[in-house]
Order: sequence, then structure tokens, then C-alpha cells
Amino acid sequence: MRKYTKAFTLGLQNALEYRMNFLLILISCIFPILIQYFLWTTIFVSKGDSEVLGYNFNQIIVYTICAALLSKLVATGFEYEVSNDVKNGQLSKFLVQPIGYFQYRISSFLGEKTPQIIVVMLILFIILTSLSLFIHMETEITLARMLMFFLVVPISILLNFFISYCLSTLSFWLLEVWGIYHTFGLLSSIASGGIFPLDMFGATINRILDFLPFKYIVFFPINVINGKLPWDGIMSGVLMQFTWIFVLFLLSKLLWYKGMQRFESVGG
Amino acid sequence: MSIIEVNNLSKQFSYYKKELGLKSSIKSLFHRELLYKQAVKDVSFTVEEGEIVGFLGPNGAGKTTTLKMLSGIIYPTGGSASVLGFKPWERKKNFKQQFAIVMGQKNQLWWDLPANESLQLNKCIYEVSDHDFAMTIGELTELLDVKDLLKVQVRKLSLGERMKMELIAALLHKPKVIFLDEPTIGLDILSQKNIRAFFKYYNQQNKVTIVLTSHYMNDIIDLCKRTIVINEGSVVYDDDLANINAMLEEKKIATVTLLNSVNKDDLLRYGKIKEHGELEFTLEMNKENSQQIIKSMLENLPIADFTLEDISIEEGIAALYQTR
Amino acid sequence: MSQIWKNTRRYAYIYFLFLKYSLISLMAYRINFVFGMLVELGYIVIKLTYVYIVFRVGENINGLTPYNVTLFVGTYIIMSGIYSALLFFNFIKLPELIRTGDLDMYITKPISLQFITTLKSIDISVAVPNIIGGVIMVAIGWNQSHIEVNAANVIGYVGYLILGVITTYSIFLIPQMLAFWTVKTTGLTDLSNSLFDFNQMPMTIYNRLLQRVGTFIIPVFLLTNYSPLFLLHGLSRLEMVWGIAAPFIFLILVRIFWNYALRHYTSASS
Repeated sequence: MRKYTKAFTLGLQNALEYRMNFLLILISCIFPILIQYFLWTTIFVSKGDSEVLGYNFNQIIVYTICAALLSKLVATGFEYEVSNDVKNGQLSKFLVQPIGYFQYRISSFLGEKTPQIIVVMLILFIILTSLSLFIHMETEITLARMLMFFLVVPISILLNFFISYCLSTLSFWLLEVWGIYHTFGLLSSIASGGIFPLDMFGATINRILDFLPFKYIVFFPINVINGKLPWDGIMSGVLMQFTWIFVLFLLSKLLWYKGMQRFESVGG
Repeated sequence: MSIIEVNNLSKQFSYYKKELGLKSSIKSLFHRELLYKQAVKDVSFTVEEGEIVGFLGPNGAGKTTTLKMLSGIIYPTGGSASVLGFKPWERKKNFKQQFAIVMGQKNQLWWDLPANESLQLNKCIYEVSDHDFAMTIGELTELLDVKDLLKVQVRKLSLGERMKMELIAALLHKPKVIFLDEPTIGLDILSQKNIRAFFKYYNQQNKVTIVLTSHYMNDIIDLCKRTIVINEGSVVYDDDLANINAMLEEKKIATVTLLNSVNKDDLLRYGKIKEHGELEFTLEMNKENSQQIIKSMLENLPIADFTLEDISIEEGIAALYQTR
Repeated sequence: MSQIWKNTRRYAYIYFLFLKYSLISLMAYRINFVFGMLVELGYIVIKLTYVYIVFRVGENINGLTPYNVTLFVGTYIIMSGIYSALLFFNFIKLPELIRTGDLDMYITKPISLQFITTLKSIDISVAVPNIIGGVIMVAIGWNQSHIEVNAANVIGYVGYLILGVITTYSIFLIPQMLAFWTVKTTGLTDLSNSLFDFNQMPMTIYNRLLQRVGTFIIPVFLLTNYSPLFLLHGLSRLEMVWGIAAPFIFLILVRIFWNYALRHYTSASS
């Protein structure tokens, strides 16, 4: 157990080391938020309705802010490290050490995310409470929902970890992977609801998205807090999150097993 | 008029004092202490056409900084210089077309392309005619024995081969003045020799003027009749290389290996100890009575091995660095 | 006069060599070529989601139909392609050239230093999907906005596009030049590059203040907005003139700043 706390602390130290970097990333969210703010203002003024695509103005602004910050928070990056470990044979080091590679990765990832969760949650808490104080929200952001949100977000982060962990096995079969990782990241930011709320995309697209895990990373947690989901919807959503985590966990086991076979036969 | 004239050339770099720790880094947001470093001070010399002059000096002595000012890369903070009648740092096109600088640690060839592509680019940049281009390439590849390598990707060349290509790229426009900054750095002995031989020949054939800095004494001994030694930004010696030898000839160096360790005082009787290990010692002694000293050493000390030599030019120059 | 002509031809030929070299290098790293295209496709999809949402909303926004918006976004995609293929990699390498002192060799060449350091690296891979996708979107937007295809419109559109490239060159080069004073520019680079994204949507959605700032002070809207606005008769006479003058004003400013910055170059001590 001690070695996993060690990996956890390493991730934590890493996050603290690069804290300025993370802060800059958060600050860079301001521009897309600003663009969307003006876009929606213009749309609402032009249309003259109080609701567009199922959202009122305040809801869409809250969504935009939460989505921008959340997608930065759930972001991974260790998949590049995994492919480096595969490429230069670092992985074989873990084969002889008494620490599992999976355990090492997840401990250090959670260690890295812990301070970031605290920071982002604090920022969101301040923004949301001040928003609900100064502007009238159609649906109240209740304290209960906020607490639920804080419980759901770590699960989303975990879910995204498993997606990336499965994806990272690509490096067993391909020599170069950066382009695939990068593109995957861009597409998953759309599919998770990191740019626009998914229900705005219409029924057809949503039928496809329902079969994918991405919507439980950003779209679902925000629906918890903005009051769009009733409580039983939240419960079944959490259940879906855990189901996906379980499925992806099994998938990652399989992929890593296949990948390691290949890694050892090639000679690392 | 000499081809290179340098008068009281000086360069002062300014930089901010770096302090460690959070407190001082916050403090430095408001006030940073500006410090100055005198890299080159009052350097003066002249070089005549066709001469090869060696620049010697320890790391950070100001050799490269001087070369960079002479090639117009940086501005001086004082003094004047003229190369081919131009003020280098005015960066006149006419001036740039008549000189070349080769820096051993920097390459101008495109890494992923065959060398002949980079040469083609230099041909356009320096406005070399097709005829001259073909002539020069033919001649230089012959001399440097790299004819077959022109179409090989630069990153696949060995370090020595790459340096030769760099030289061709630099000499394409037939410069009248060439600055060489550590041209043989990192090369194996054979490549170093080849490149030296090439410059010797090239200088004789084309009467070009060469100013050369190097860490390797052999580069200087082989190529340069005249040497300028720079230390801490100032010229400490400017004369024939051979004269350094003469200055230092009255000393000899003995390297002694002992069978078992002896008291240090027993050794001090014979000369100045320059280096010493467990059983190995290097002693400096006067030339005139060296024979007697050796004789008495062989009688009194448990000697296993023994060599005697003149002070090398390297050490002579090291001694020069320390004067002043 | 013939001297100028000769020089122009020389520079054009050297630029042609840069292009040729970049193609040879790309062939050496074919996977990077594929990945470059792939990543750009990802970015195009993100840009398209904005258009998709506008179509879903279905309403005119500030007088612009969804097809008008397509015209704007198509132009924006074309410009991203041009910027990342011709300029971006040069600009991000500049601080590195200064830091390592690799600029030294370029300074001694009898050719414009600004030309060689800011235009040398070209990466066609990122341009391919953007130019193709962008042109298709512009064609659709143009057609569905019922704009006549005549010489005046085409010249106006392409003209403002080229002027936009010049402005892009100027306003993205300035932050990189701060590297001459050994300022860390990475944060600044990210910031200035994200300014580019303000063209994601037509400039008419922003409030008056932002429009003014983005036109006259940090002219980000000149990059991709004036071409479609010209077609839609959305430019006042003053704006038309400013759109032509501004690129050259900023280019001259950059040139002055460049010469000033170069005096501060101290070369890396090696």
C-alpha cells in the first residue's frame, strides 16, 4: 500500500510543481466562454424567445462556464507518458518491480487531480453562488445538488481515466500515436458536452451518444447541478457511470494483456 | 590598410541578478539588480591579408564574443573595428557576401535534406552564378573527399562528414575572410587532421584571411604562425607561437610513478609538485640542473616508472593565462 | 527598378526552395503528415459544431442567416490553414532561435533576416484539410447567401483574405519578438493564439467596444471577417479603407519593432 501512496504523492507534487501551468490553462478558458456569451446574447436578442433549444439564457451561460472548466479538469495526459514508456522500453522496468503499472498510473493520476479538483470546485462554487445571488435562475442551484455535483465529478474523472487508459494501449501496436491522441481529445471534448450541451445536437446524434461513455464525463455532471435532471435521473446516471467504469476496466485489462504479450514478444 | 583592424573593442553584457527563493522572486518583480559583465575589454590587433591567426584562451575569455562582433552578429559597447573596410555590425549586404563564419557547434545545413539542397539555397542567398557554383562544388568536394555524400541526408552523415559539408556551404561564395569558431570540436583525430590540412591548402591557394579559435592546441600549432591569447577579455599575448616556447623552454616536466608512497617533503626537494596522486607525481624542474636532480631521485626514491619532457605549449599558454 | 525586380525574383525563388524543402522533409516523416491532417480535421469538427448549432437555432443572428455564418466560418477555417501552414511554426521557433543563439548564422547571411526566420518553415499537412474544408464551406455559404459570382466580388473577397494574411503575420509575430528581451513567451503565445478564435463567429455578435478594440487596436477581426463582410455589403467606406491600410501599417510597425529588437540581440553565450 505504501508504494501506491508514494505514486500518489508523486502525482500530487507534479501538480503542485506545474500549478502555474494549470492556472494558465484555466485562465485560457475565458476566451471561449466570452465568445459563447456574446453568441448566445445575440441569438437570444435576435430570436426574442426566452428559451432556445431547451435552455434559457442563464442556464446556457452556467453550462458554458461549467463545461469549459470541467473539460480542463477531467483532461488526462498520461497516455503520452505510457507511449513513451512503451517506446523506450521503460515499461519492462515495471515488470520486475513489485508495483503494478496500472496501480502506479492510477495512483499518480489521482494524486495529480486532487489539488486540481479542489481548485476548480472552489472556483465553480464561487462563480455559481455569486451568479445565483445576482441573477435570477430559473432552476435554483440548491446546496444538495452542489454536494451531489462534488460527488459526481470525481467519478467522471475516474471514467475519463479508464477511457485514456484503454486508448493508451494503442502504443503497443503503433510506433507513433500523438496525432491519434490529440484528435481523440478534440472529438471527445465535443462528444462529452465540453463545448455545447449535448441535447442541443438533436435526437439523431443523441441516439449515438447514448451508446458512448463520453456524455457521463461533462454533460451529466453539469445536468446534476443546473437542475435539468430529477433526482432519480441523477441516480441512474451515477449507476451508468459505474457501469461504464466497470466495462472499461475489463476492456483495459484485456487490451493490456494483449498489448503486453506483443510487448514481450517484440522484446520491449 | 590591413584587412582586419580592431581598436579598443569592448563588449559589456548586462543581466539581472538572479536570486533564489520565493521571497526574493517576489521582490524581483519590483526591483531587479542590474549587473554587468565585461566580456571583452579594449582589444586591439590587426590582421593582414592572407594571414592565419589563432585565437587562444580559456572558456569565457571573450574569443567567441570578439568573433561575433567581427562578423556583425552583436554590437560592441565600445571601440571600433573594420573588416574588409566595413563596420561589421552595420551588416551591409556587400560585407556579408565577402566573409564567412563557421561555428563548430552550430549548423546551417537542413537536417532532413541532402547537403546539396542546402548548398543550392546558399547559392541563391549569396547570388553565386551557376558556373562558379559548379566549379567550387567540384573543387571542394574533391579536396574534402565527399563527392559521393552530396545526396545523402545530412542527419545520416557522420560528424566529420557533416563538418566538411558545413565548410563547403560556408566557402561557396569564396569569402575573403573566414572566421572559424571551434571548427574541429568533437571530431575524431583523423577528421581534425583532414580539416586542418584542408585549411592550410585553401589558405595558400586562395590567399584568404583566417581567424581561428580552438580548444585543440594542434589546430593552432599546425595552422597558425601567429597567435593572440585572450584572457578575461583582454589580449595577453600577440606574437609568433614559437616565442611562447622559447619563453618556457628553461623548464622540464618529470612524471614519476612510485612503488610505494613516500613523504611529500621528500619529493619537494627535487622540484615543484604540479599534480600528485597516491603513487603518481608530476614535478616541474629547471632545465639546467635537471640531470643531477634525476640522478639523485633515482638513487633515493622507490621509482617504478619515469618520463621527462618539455613543457607543452598547452601548459605554456595556461601559464600565460595566469599572468596579468 | 530592374534591381528591385531581380531581388523580388531572388526572394521568390528562395521561398520556392523553402516550399520544396518542406515537402521533402514531410515525405521523410510521412506519419507526421497524416497526423497533422488528422488533428486539423479534429479542429474543423469543433468549428463545425458552432455552425451546426447556429443551424439548429435556425434564426437569423443579428441579421445573418445560418448560411451567412457558414461563409464566415469557412473563411476562418481557410485562414487557420494558411496561418498554421506558413507562419505558426516559424513564430514558435523564433524564441528558441534567440535562446540557443542559432540566430547567429542567419544574421551573417546577405538576405533579410526577418524574411528567412519568419518564413522558412512551411508545413503543408495542416493546410490541406483546412483549405479544402474551408473552400467547400465558403462555396456553400456564398451560393446559399445568393451572392453573385462576379469579378468585383471575387477580387474583393480574395483581396481582403490576402490582406488578412498580412495582418495575421504582423499581430502574431509581435508577441514572439519579446523573446529578444529574454521574456518567457509561451504563456503569451497561447494567449495571442486564442485571440485568433474570436473569429470563430462573425464579429457582429460582439458588443461595440469589443468590435472597436478588435478592429483598431488589436485588429483580430481584420483577419477573417472583412472578406465575408465585403460580400455581404457589411463594410462601411471607412472600414473598407482601414481594411486595406491597416495590414501595411501593422507590417511597418512590426518592421520597426524588429529592427529595434535586433539591436537587443546579445546572442547566447556559448
